[in-house]
Amino acid sequence: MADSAILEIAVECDAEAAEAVSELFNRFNGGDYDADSEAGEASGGGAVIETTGYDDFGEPIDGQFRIVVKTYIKPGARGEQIRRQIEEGLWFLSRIYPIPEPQIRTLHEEDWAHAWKRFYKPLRIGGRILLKPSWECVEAGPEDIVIELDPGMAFGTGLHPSTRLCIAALEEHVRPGDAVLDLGTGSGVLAIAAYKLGAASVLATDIDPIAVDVARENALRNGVPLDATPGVTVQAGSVPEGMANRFDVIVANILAEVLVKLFDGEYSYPPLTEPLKPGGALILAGIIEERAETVIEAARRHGCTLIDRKQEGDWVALVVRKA
Amino acid sequence: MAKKLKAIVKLQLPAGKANPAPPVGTALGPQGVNIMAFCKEYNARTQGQIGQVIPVEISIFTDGSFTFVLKTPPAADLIKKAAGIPKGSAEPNKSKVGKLTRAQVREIAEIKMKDLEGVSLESAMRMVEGTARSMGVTVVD
Repeated sequence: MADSAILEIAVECDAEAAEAVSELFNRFNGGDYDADSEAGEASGGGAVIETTGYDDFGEPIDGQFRIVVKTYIKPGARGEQIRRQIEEGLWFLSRIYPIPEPQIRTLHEEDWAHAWKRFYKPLRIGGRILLKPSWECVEAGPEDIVIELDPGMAFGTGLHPSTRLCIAALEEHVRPGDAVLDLGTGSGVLAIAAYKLGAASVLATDIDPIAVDVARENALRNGVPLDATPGVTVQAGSVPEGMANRFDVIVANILAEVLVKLFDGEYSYPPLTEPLKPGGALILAGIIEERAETVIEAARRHGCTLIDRKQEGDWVALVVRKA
Repeated sequence: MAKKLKAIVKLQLPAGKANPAPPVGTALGPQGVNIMAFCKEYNARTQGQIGQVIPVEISIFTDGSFTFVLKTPPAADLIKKAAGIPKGSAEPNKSKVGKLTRAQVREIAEIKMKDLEGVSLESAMRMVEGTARSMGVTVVD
């Protein structure tokens, strides 16, 4: 394509007007973006409704919540025509409903196609682990352990404090030859880290089948043998059945409420401490500060003693030892 | 893991055929979403519905990770499909381009009800009929 500039038309409005504006965008600039626009059919992919301004609980914040309806128009003569139709339509709409002037700007491919990549830079976690996206190069020292992880679906981009706290705890507690269990593996980052820190066998589980696929993919990409010893095994589920006293280290980066229920065996899985060897370390994370006590309580009820507590911002990771 | 919600973006995409071109790339790229990862997931989950437009609502978190839910196809698309017409009428009051039976209206209403909380089948059917009329499609008994 000679000219890859795309026109963005954006209208900020309330929820009611958003419906009407999207309908307008869908009418004049809908259709499959790949279709031949010069053939007369609209092919702009329609309306995009973007809402921002949420608080920590995902609720809209008064005064900060914004709705913006956008559409993207391909360059060319047909595009010009679509732009005129939309501007006209918006003008008519503004007669019956107060909407601000549309914001029109030109986007070049380099502006958007790789824009997301600048959010991800190589990141050192703990002492030796270096997390990097696939498109970045890093200079790693001989002691460094590099894990390549691209952000994607699900969880654990490595940017969350809980992930960092868990990796730091794994560095301290995983010894060569250990058997490690990673509960709620998500992207698989902790299981991969445990393997690279010398664990002989790592079992990673997640109740989300998408996470299971993603974790397997990430393990392979990092050269970790799958379903092998030494290596990482990923399976759907939670605390595994029939594996009492098998693991030297268990890491569970989930949520305080879920951890307490797992301790008490409230789900249909064995209790959290069952697969852990006596004397083994249990790393608990995904805990916000004010919930830490309830998790420590639950650990004590099940015969564990607190041996370490790490904190970053509001997030806490606890390490407890099984009697 | 609790994460901070940054934005919710709603798009309409062809099932199984999302690609990093606009609107996906232009809408999600600047939000920090890995657009290839999104397309792959969306296509995997809509594989069975190829040929339909499946709207998607994407929740984007401050760390760039995301989750999404799929919605039901737009009523106008379901009507075009059921009536076997490529597009609606430009002058719906004058030129009629197709017909739907009551049973077809009911079928479409049942699909759309998944997205309409607390709406009865009767009112969902009336909404479908309204959309059909605005497209120049008549409903016959």
